[in-house]
Order: sequence, then structure tokens, then C-alpha cells
Amino acid sequence: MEGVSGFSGLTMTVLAYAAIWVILLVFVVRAFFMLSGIRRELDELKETLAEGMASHGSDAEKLPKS
Amino acid sequence: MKSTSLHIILASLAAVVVCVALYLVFFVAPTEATLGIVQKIFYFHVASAMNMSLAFGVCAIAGAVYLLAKSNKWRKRADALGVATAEAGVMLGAMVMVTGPLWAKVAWGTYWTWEPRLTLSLMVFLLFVAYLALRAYAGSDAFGRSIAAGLAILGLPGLYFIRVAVERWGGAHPQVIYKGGLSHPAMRQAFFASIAAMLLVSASLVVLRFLIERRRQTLDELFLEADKIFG
Amino acid sequence: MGRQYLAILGKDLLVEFRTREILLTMALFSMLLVIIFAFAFLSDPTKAKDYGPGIIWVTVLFSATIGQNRLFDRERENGCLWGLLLSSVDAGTIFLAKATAQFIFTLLMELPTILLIILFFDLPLVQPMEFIASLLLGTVALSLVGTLFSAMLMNARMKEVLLPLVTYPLLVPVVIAGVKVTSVAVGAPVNEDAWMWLKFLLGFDMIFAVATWFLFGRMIRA
Repeated sequence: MEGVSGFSGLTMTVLAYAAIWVILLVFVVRAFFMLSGIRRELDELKETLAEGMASHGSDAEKLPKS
Repeated sequence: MKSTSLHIILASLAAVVVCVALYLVFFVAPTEATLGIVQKIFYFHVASAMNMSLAFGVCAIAGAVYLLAKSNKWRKRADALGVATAEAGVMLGAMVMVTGPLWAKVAWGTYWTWEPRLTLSLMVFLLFVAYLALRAYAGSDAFGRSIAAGLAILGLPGLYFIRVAVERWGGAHPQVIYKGGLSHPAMRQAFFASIAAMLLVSASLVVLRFLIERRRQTLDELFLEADKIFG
Repeated sequence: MGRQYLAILGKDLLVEFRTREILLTMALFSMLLVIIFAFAFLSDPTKAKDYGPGIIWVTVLFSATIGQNRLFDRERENGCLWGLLLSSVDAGTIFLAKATAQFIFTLLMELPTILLIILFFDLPLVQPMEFIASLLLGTVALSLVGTLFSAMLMNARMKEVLLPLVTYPLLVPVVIAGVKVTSVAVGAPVNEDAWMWLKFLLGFDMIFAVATWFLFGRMIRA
């Protein structure tokens, strides 16, 4: 156990903590991609609703507010 | 939105505690005599492992609530909590699975051994990878969700055995906490700070993913509503 | 409850012994696996005791999965499972009957397969009782977990891939325990307590019998 050089231990420690940060970053970036995906879908929904309201005329008040 | 601002406070608190923990680990705690600097992996490795078990445990409870709850409202909440904790747990598991071998290469001379705690941890990790795969591929319908919930519940015995594996079946895994290691008070301080840091990070990520999932559920409901009105 | 259980089980066995679909596919698949393993590992016959137990359990696990994939095919094609669930039969009874059928099919598949492995690899069964006990207990665990997820994934896309993905992590402890007991049973030079692993298998079976029986009813209603 003691025979292992200190250099290797330092490399491993740096690698380990770098890996933790990378994994964390991947999770957060993925979460924000999800959020922007939801925003995009919400815009699509709004468009669909607007089209629908235009073709259906006056019953726009009955729609649920998004 | 109130929950969003609460979440920002939680995330900033997590960031501060992470900085404090890293400072304590690298600049205050003494370097361990026999292992050298590689022992510093231990602090965040164990903290991630503990939080992984916690996340999977909460996921199993959420699964039970999902399967038992009568009201649709609670089922949806439990489902969102389930997917949030499973993803956070898999993320923490990935951290454990990467940092562990890097430490072991120096301490044991090999990246991986088929030792009880390692084997069981890998098994539970893969179980929750399967949970996410089920939700992704078995269709997002109620069926896929309930299978995933059942799977999470069946993971509970595994979680228990990870905890007792070293005592029951032996193995090379160090038992620092229960055997009264960490003699130096600064080491203990750094260890508890790491646990607190990972707990706050996991909690804020779970909340983030939970809020995203809730929004997605609301969006899906709105789409259904729009379909009903316009056909 | 007992009569309903026997009726479902009897129906499954009758249909299977008339068509032999599940049994034949499982048995043929396991024979092929054994032959492939024989080619892959038989370079050094003196080491047969080391990898023989592993080959037995991998073959059993893979072949059982083949059967599990087909287990609910007839129920799906005719909408039979929904009919059963809509009738007054308790979901737990349906589950137990299907799991028993799967247990019997797997045992029937194991019999020729293991004889073949013992012949090919020249494994001496010095402790046959322990081996048979591990096989029975292990097959119970395979059948319980396999039947639960086979039923759940009945209508899923990609169920052939998803079923092993879901069940194997749960079944890893069973395979480990089975291999340990089998190593002792064939007299491999290992330092293992066969009795401890048999007790572990028994405990696993009891926990999973209750858990899967309970979960089946909850999950299928969702």
C-alpha cells in the first residue's frame, strides 16, 4: 500500500474531483435543456390554441388560461 | 413562483456549503499518513454513496405512494418525486462508481474487485438505471410508471444489504465510520461538511428535477385539454 | 381461491403440453447455450469445476428469460388477462398460478440442460442435496421476479430487451448464491458456507414472494 508513489495518488484525486464536477454539470445542463424543451412545447400549445380560437370564433373565454 | 425562489435559495446555500467543504477537505484536514493525498477522495465518495442510498430510498417510498395513493393529485406528485430522486440517485451513483475505483487503484492496487459492497452497489445502481430506461422506453403511459415504481420498491432489500454487506460477508471495504476511524477532528469536520454539501446539492437537484417534471405534467394536461376542446 | 388457482394453473399446463411452445423453445435455446459454452470453455478440462457452476446458472438464467418473454403471450393475444382481472378472481391468485406454471416449465427445462452440462464438463456432484436445494430455491426466485415483470411488460414496446434489463439486477444475488452453493456441491476448492447461501436464497424467496404477490395486484390495476 505504501509503495505506491505520491504522484499517482495526486492524479487520482484530481481525476476523481474533476469527474464529480463533470457529472454534476451534465445533470444541470440536461435539466436546463429539459426546461427549454418545455418552454418550446408551451409556445407550440399557445399557437395551436390561437389557431383554434381563430377558427372557432367567439368561444375563446371558455378556454383554460395557460 | 414561490417554489422557484425557494429553490434558488436552496441552490445558493448548496454552492456555499460545497465551497466550505472543499476548503476543509483540501486545506484544513491533514493528509492521511499511510494512503497519502488519495484519501481525500474518501470524503466526497462516501458522501455521494450515502446520498445515493437516501435518494433511492426516497424513490422507493415515492413508488409505494404512487401505487397505493387513491387520488390522482398525489399519484402525480409521487411520480414526479420518483423520477427526480431516481435521476439524482443515478447521478450520485455515477460519482460513486467513478471516484471509488480511482481511490481503489492506489489503495488496493486494482480498480475493481468483486467484493460484497461493490457488487451490491453496482447492482442497485443498475436497477435504477433500468428504472429510468423503463420510463424512457416502456412508454410514458401509466403502465411504464407503475412498473418503474414496483422496481424501485424491490430495490429496498438491496439498499439494506449494501449497508450491512461488509459486516455480514466481510470484504475489503473499509469501515471508517463504524470502526471509529477519522481520528483527527479536522478530518471529521471535513467529512461532515462533505456530507452536508452533497445532501444540499442532491436536495436542490431533486427539487429542480421535481419542478421540471411537475411542469411537464401540467403541460401534458393542457395539451389533453386543448385536444378535448378542438378535437 | 384454491380452485381458481388450480384452474388457471391447469389451463396453462394443458395448453403448454399440447403446444409445447415455451418448453421446446426454452430447452432448445439452453442446449445451444451449453454447446456454445462447451466450445468456449472446454480448452482445459481440469478447470471445469471452476467455471461449471457459473455455466449452469447462466444457462438457467438466460433460458428462463426466454420462457418468461413468452409466458403472457396467450393472455395478450386473446385479451385473456383482462378478462380474468374483470372476473371475480383475485389478482394475487392469477399471479401465483402463472408463477407456478413458469416454475414448472423452468424446472422441466433445467433437467436435461443440467444433465448435459454435468456430462459435457464431467462435474462430480459430491453434495447433490445442496445442489438440488439451491436449484429449487433459485428457480422459485427466477419465476417470481420473471412472472411479475413479464406480466407488466406484456404490452410494452421492446419488452424482449426490457425484461432482462429489469430482472437481471434483481436476480444477481440469486445467481451469486446459486453459483456459490453449486461450487461447494461439485467439490470446487472454495471456502464457502453452502448452508449460509441456501438460507440467503430462502430469505430472498420469502421476501420476494410477498413483495411480488403484493405488487402484482397494485401494478396491474394502474
